Amino acid sequence: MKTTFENFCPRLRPGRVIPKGAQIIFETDNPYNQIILPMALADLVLLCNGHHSLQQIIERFYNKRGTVPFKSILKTIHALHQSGFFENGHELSLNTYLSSWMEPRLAYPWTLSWRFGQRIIANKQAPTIFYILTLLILAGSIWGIQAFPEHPIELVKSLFVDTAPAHVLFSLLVCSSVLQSMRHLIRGIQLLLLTGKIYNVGVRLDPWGLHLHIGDEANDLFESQLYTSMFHLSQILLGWGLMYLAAPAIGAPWLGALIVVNLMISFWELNPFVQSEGLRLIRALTFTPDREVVSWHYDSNSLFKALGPGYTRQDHDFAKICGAWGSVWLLTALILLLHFAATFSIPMLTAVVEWDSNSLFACAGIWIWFFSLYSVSQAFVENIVISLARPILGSFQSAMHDFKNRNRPPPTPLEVLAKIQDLPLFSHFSRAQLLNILSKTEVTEVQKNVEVVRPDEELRELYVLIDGEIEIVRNLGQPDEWSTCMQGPSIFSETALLDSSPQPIHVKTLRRCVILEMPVNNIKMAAEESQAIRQLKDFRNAILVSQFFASSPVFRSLSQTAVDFLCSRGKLEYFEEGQIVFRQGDVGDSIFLVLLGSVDVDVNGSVVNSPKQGSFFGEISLIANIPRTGTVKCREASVFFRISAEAFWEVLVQNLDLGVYIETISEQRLRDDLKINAVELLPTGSD
Amino acid sequence: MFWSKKKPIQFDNPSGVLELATRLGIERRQNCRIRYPNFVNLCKLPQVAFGGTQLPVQDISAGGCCLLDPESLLGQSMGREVELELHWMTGTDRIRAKIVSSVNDRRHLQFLNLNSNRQNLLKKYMAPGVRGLSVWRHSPTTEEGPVLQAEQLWSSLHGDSIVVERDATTIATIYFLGVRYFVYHESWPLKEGDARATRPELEQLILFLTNIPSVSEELIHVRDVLLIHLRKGKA
Repeated sequence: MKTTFENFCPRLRPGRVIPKGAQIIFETDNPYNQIILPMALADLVLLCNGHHSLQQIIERFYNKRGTVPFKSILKTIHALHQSGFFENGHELSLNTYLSSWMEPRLAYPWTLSWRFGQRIIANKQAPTIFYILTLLILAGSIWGIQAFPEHPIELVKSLFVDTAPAHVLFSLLVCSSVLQSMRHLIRGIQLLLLTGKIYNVGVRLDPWGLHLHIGDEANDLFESQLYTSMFHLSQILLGWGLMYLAAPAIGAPWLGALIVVNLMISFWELNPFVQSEGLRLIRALTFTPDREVVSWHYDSNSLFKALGPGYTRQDHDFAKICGAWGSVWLLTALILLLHFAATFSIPMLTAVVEWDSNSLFACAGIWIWFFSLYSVSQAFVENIVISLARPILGSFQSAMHDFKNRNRPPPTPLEVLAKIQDLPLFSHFSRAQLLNILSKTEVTEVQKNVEVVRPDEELRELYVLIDGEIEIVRNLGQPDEWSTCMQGPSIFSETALLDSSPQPIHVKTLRRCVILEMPVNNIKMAAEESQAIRQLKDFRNAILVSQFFASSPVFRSLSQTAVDFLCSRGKLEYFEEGQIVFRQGDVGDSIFLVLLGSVDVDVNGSVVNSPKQGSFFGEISLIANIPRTGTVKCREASVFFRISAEAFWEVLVQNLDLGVYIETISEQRLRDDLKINAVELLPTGSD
Repeated sequence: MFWSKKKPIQFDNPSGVLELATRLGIERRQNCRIRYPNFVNLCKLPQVAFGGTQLPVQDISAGGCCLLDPESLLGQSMGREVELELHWMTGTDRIRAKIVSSVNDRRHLQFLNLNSNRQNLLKKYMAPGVRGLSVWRHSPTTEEGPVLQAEQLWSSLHGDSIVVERDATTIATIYFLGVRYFVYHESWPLKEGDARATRPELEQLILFLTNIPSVSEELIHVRDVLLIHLRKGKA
C-alpha cells in the first residue's frame, strides 16, 4: 500500500549511527552499505524507527526552526530512499511536485540495472581540478569535431552497405557500450571532484548496450551556474573527444559505428522532452543563482503550460527556450525518420518479403522505426500542436459558451444571492440586507474584450463577477504594471468602497461575463445598518486578502483549509508612505504579504529589493531564525497582511512544497543581503 | 577568481563573530552576550573590578556586562554611572558604565566609552562562547531505531559537535573549530594524532561548553573535568 510523503513512517534497516567529527555515519549490518551525513541531521536518522511520520519528524526540526533547512531534510530522505536504506521504502509515493523536485531516476521498462554502489561517497571536493578537467574535455571534444575523419558519410555508408547486418548491430552495440561507459566514468570523476559524491553506481543494460552507469542526481551543482553549464555541455560533447582519441587505433567500420553512436548520443542528449543533459543545460543557463528560482523542479512534460498566465518570468523564459528548442528538435527528428524511411524502406521491406538471414534485422529496424515515429509524433502533437491550438480552442469554447447562453435569461436574485453570500464582504450581511442591495443592483451581461473599468473613470460601483473571466491590470503602462486573471464569483473594483477618484486600474472581460454593478452608496448604507461591519476599509482589504490567496502564484497551491487558517491568524496593517515597517536587527516574528502598495528593502543603506502588490517580505527571519536583515520602508501608502511565525510554520510544515519554495526565495534574498553585509562588516580593529 | 571556493566565515575575527551570531539568531540585542564561567582570564576575557574590588561576571557582551554585587558596591539606582576597571592580559582599562537594570544581586551595566578596538577584541575572545550558544542535543536511541554508538550527541549547524562516550577512559569527544579533542577522566585531553591540547584550547572548550543551552548533567561533568585539568594542569 502506498502512503503519501507526509504520512510515510520511515523505518531504517537495522544499523548503527557512528558519530565522527562533524558527521555521522549510518551503516547497516552490511558495513558496505553506509551513508555519511552532517551531524545536524542525526535526529532524522535516529527518528526513522517506523513510529514517526515524516511530517512529525519535520515538525521536530521545526521546533528548532532555522537549524536545518527543509531542503536538506528532503534531500536526505531522498538519498536514504533512493539508496534503499528504508525497510519500508516501497510504501512511499511522492507527489508530482516533490518527485520532480527530488529528481528521482526514471525507471524505464526496457532498462535492467544492477547497482553495486548505493551509498553516497562524501569526500573532499576539488573544484579547481574539476574546472581544468572539464575545460580539457570541452576543448578536446571541440577539437574532436573539428578533426572529424575524412568522408564521415562515406564511412557510415560503408558500415551499412558493405558490412553484414549482424556485424553492424554488433559493432554499434559494442561502440555504444564502450562510449557510454567512458562517458559515465568521466561523469563520475567530474561529480566526485565537484560535489564529493556520486549516487547509484552500477551496470545497466538498456538500448545503449551494457554499460557502466552513474546516477544523474546532481542537484548540488546548481550552486554554480558556470560549473553546471560546463558539466552538462561536456557530457553532451564528450563522445566526440573520445572518438578522436580512439580514431587512430580502429578501422573504418568501427569508426563508422562510433560516428553513428556519437550522433545518436548527442541528438538524444539534446532532447528537451526527457531529463537530458540538454534540458539541464538550458535550466542551468535560465535559472541563475542570482535570480529568484521559481520552478527549477520543472516538469519537462508540460513545457508549454508555463507559457500561460500566472507563471513568472523565469518560467516563461525557460518554457520559451525549451519550447523553441523542442520544436526544432522534434522537426529534425521527424525529418530524419522520414529520410530514413525514404532511403531504407524498399531494401528492408524486400528483406522481410524474401525472408532470408537479414529478415529479422529488417523486422527489428522497422519496429524501432515505427516506435520512434510514434514517440516523436506523440510529443509533437502533445507539446506543439495542442499548445498552438489551445488559444484557438479557447476562443472556440468561449464562442460555444456564448452561443449556448445567448438566450439564457439573466440570473434571478436568488441565484445571484446563492453565488455571492460566501464572498468576504457579503458574508457579513443578513439575507434581507443582501436582497435589499440586490434589488437596487443592475445585472449586466458583458461580451468578450469589453472594458469594464477604465483608468480615467470615477469609481461609483462595486463590481461582482458572477460568471465568466476578467483580466485586471493595475498601473497600466507603468514600469510596475501588474496583472491578474480572475474567475467568478469574485469582487473587483473594491477601491470604490473608500475612494471614488479614478484609479490606475484597467479591467477587461476575457469572455462573456455576468457582472453585478452595485452602487457603493447602497453598500455603505447597508454596512451602517449592519452591526457586524464597522470599518469598510477592513472589508475592502478582506477582499484583497481573498484576492491575494486566489491569484498569488506562490500561495494558490494551498488548500482552502490552509488559506482559512492563515486568514484567521493574520491581521491587516496599514502604513503611510515613508513609514518604516521594521528595522534591520529587529526581532522577526512575522511575514508580511503585500496586499496594496510597495516597499523598499534597505540593507546597510542600499535598496536591494522592492516587493510590491502580490509579493511578500519578512520571511528570512522566520526561515533562518535570525533578526531582520534589512529595513523595510513603504514607498507609498500600503496595506499588508501580517502572519505570525507560528501560524506560518504550521502551514509550511503541512505544505512542504510551499516550505521548499519559500525557503528557496529566502535563501536567495539572504545571500544577497549577506553580500552587502560582508562589505560593511570588515574588521575594524585587531589584537 | 570566479572558480575559487567561497571564503568561509573567519571565526577569529570580530566581523566573522558578528555574522555568525546574526546567522544563528542570537544577535537579538545590539551585541550578543555569552555566559562567563568566572575563571581568571579564561580565553583572555577581562576581569571586571570596581574601586579595586573584583566583581564576579555573570555574562558579558561587547556592549555591557552583568556583574554580581551582593554587597551593593555599585549601588542599586538605575541610570547611575560608575567607573569600571577591565583587567586584560595586556593591561587595565578604566571605562565608564551605566547601570541599566538591577535585579537582586545582579547589576546590568552598559559600557559607555569602550573603544571599538576593545569591543572587537571582546567579540573575538567571545567567539567560542558564541559557537556554544547554537549547540543542541540530538534525540537518544529508541528501541526500534538505529543504535547510536554514544551516550549523548550534541551538535550545531556550524560543524561543532560533542559526543558523550560510553567508555571507561574517554568521557567525551569534542569536535570544535575543525579539531577533534578527546577528554579523559584522568589524563590531560589529547587532540587527533595524539598531540596534547594546549591551555588556550582548553579555555576555549570550557567557554564553548559553558554556553550550550539546556545543558545536561553529563555535559556539565565534561566541563568540570576540563576545569579540573586546567587548574591542576601542565600543558
